[in-house]
Amino acid sequence: MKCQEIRDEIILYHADELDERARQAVETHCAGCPACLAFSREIAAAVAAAHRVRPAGPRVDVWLEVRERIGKKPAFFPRWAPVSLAAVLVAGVLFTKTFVSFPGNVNRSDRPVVSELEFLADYELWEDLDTLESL
Amino acid sequence: MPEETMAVNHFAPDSSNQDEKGELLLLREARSGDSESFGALVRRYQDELYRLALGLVSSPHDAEDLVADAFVKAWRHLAGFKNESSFRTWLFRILINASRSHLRRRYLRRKLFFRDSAENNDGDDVLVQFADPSAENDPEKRSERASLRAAVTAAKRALSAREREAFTLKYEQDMKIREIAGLLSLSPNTVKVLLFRATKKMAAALK
Repeated sequence: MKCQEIRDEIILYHADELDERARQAVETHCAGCPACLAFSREIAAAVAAAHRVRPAGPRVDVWLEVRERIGKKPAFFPRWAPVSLAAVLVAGVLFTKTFVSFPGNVNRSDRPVVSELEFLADYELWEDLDTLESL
Repeated sequence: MPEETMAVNHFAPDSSNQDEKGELLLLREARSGDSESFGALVRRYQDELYRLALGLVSSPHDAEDLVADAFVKAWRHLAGFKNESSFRTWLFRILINASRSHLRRRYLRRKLFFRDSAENNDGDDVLVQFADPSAENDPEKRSERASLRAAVTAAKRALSAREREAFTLKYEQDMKIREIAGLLSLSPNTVKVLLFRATKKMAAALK
């Protein structure tokens, strides 16, 4: 087996994931290959370090905190409430803008356009102005 | 291979009948609202969960908070646990998801507030109690372990989140690749690749 191929096997060797035959193959290769033996030693050191610094457990009894927290009634204001409130507000604004019109707030489409005010064409505006001035 | 695999559960009462009850019975009682039965389950798994959390997030304070959060979440969703996996695996999944969210939040906080890229657990390594009792009784050995722990923590920063999960589950929880694959919903080959990368990076950093 080539050195590049054996490197992954070396990692599995130290991870205790190889059967006996594969373990023998790794050991045989490393016995005759200084580079792979050095690699194996580096991997072994890293694995040993991870084992040696393994912690015992938490410094406090987690159950005491958990018991206190699960003993409390769920908050009156559920976590999904802000999202629901925001959704209702957005829906309300959209509904108002779409369907509700307020007095004095006439929609653009409802305003009369000049072409619809044809009676103005017949209106003797200038003459009336003269009349108004004479008053 | 593992030198010290057995850790002491400091808070498990030795003569409690609760701990001798079968897990299924405890689960059934907990589901029906018996918080003391749930407490027995918490004490049974808190050390293992803490070790996993510490391996993933590095800070002892954050690890303790995450473990407590995971148990509270488990209690609230106990009705949804259908025995499709073991209770331990279910707890591990809850904790891993909580750790991922925690790491995302921590990453965003660091980016938003331009904090130092070093994790905020400087000096926290002295707070960790080691599984090996001899390291706890000998101050010199304890100091050496704390330094080694700081080096391991620093080396883990070079790993991606997935690589860190694979490395921690393999070497700190002694899980088999097949188990890790099931827990992380990955193929065994993907876990192997993560493990290869993580172990090589760790070895290079700890040289």
